Amino acid sequence: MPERPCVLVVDDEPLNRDLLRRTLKRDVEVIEAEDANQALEMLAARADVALVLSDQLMPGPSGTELARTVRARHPGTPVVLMTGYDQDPEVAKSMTDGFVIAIVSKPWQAPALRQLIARLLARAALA
Amino acid sequence: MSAVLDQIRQVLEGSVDAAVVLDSDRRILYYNRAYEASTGLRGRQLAQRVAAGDRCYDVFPLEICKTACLGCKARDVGRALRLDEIKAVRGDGEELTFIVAAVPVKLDGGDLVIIETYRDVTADVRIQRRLKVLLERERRAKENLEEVVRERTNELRQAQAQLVHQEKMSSLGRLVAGIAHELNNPINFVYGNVDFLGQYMEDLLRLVALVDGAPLPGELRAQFEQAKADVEYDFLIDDWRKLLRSIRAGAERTASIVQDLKTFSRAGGELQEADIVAGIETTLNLIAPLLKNRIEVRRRIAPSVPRILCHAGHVNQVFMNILTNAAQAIVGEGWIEVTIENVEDARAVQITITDSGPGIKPDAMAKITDPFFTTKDVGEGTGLGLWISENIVRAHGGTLVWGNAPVGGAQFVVVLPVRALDATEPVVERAGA
Ligand SMILES: Nc1ncnc2c1ncn2[C@@H]1O[C@H](COP(=O)(O)OP(=O)(O)OP(=O)(O)O)[C@@H](O)[C@H]1O
Ligand SMILES: [Mg+2]
Repeated sequence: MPERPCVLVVDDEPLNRDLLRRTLKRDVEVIEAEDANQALEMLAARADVALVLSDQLMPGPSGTELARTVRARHPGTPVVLMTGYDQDPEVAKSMTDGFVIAIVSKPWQAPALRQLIARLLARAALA
Repeated sequence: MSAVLDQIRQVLEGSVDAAVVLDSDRRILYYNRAYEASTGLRGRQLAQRVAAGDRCYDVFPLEICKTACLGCKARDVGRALRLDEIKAVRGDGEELTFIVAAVPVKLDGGDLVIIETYRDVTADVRIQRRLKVLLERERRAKENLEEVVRERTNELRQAQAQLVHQEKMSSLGRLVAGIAHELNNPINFVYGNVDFLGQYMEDLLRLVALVDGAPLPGELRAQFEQAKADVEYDFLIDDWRKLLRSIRAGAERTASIVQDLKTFSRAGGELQEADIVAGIETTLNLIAPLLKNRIEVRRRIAPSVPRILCHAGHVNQVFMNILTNAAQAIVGEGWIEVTIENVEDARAVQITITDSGPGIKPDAMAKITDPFFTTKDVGEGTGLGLWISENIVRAHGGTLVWGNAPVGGAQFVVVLPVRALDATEPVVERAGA
């Protein structure tokens, strides 16, 4: 298990990325992408990304679409979705289809998010 | 025999109408062949009776003979008379109908005779009657058809109006959901960042305290104390926590409103356990512009109201409609009282909404849940609110009753069973179809 696992944050909203960085930077190394395509490029360039934390609604491919591609290209990298629509059927489906391992509904609280990410990383490291 | 009479006989002999010539005593002086047929007497029989001097009203009795002999009248007034649709019963019992005409004629000798003719219109009358029946039947069928068309049109109109209303409510739902979603990110910035701000503040103040506690050279100490005074340091170290608390409280409240809005806008679809009290609060928030500074909302809410298994979005529509009506009914200042209690051994929740408006008009009382019934101006009300509300409540196995309260105006009582929908189909979908 590497010293500080790397988490890729994907969100088109810079203020959200700042907040996520602030929230997670003590536990992990945070790298950022502003859309799904950029995220895929970064994943291709870095093999050590331990987890992807993505917004659902973004210009271009959505979070669930990103998750599907990640599953295909980097099956070992889990994806967590952040969404404001806790009833979005697409989100629910991506969860049951297994592309997404957790859903964070907005607005989220920093301590809960940190715990969740830590737990998921620990699980991923064991796997 | 008079020459005139002889001429008359010649004219009448071949006539298709039955005809007789009567003397002033109503004895039969002459009858034609058609008369024979009308009386139903056989030739010999008739001849004998005529020879014996039988009167016309005995030989061939018409319904008018006894009471209003037409021949007598014609004689009295001295001109021809005619009556339509006179009944007579023939010797064989068959009822016939005739047009009867009577003409008084003066013979050369000065004697007065009456010529009566009887046209058998029995068949015509029968046909006419049949025609009338047929026409009547046709008219009724047409009326029925019109009735059916009216009914169908009404049904269509209702279905269409319901669709329009549903569309209205679901676009309201979409709008609310959209707004709620748009608010999520900004709330998250505030909500998420405020803790870091607090953490940073703590860190900075720790640094300051460290400096403060260090033995500073005199000049630096003076400078430091001056700076502390300038920024009102003593006040600041107290106030920053309060500040942060109120930012957090603001963000939390906004977040909970957004959460409510999300619940509120959740349309039909799946059943869920909904918090009625929260639903009503959200509704009151949504119609706040209608209430503002004008209407006081009084709440009397039981301490523990159970959650209700329902289609929350639909149930919220019910309260939306009733509360909007109440607010619209109140002119100027007033109050709305919302009472929520557990009834039927906590197996149902009863929501009573009373307003201080003028009440429901007596002649409207029975009609307010009829589709399209409204007393409001065109454009202000479609008259569908309560109709849809009643449908929704029924679909949830509940009841909606209304009346005027002893104190105040209108009162609406909604009773919703806590778990009625467990066993049943989601009928709401059908009520809305
Ligand atoms: N609180 C009330 N006080 C007095 N009358 C009422 C009250 N609520 C309803 N009514 C009467 O019932 C009628 C029907 O109400 P309903 O909500 O079905 O339709 P509406 O309010 O007229 O129109 P819509 O709700 O479609 O905008 C109203 O027009 C009004 O006459
Ligand atoms: Mg109404």
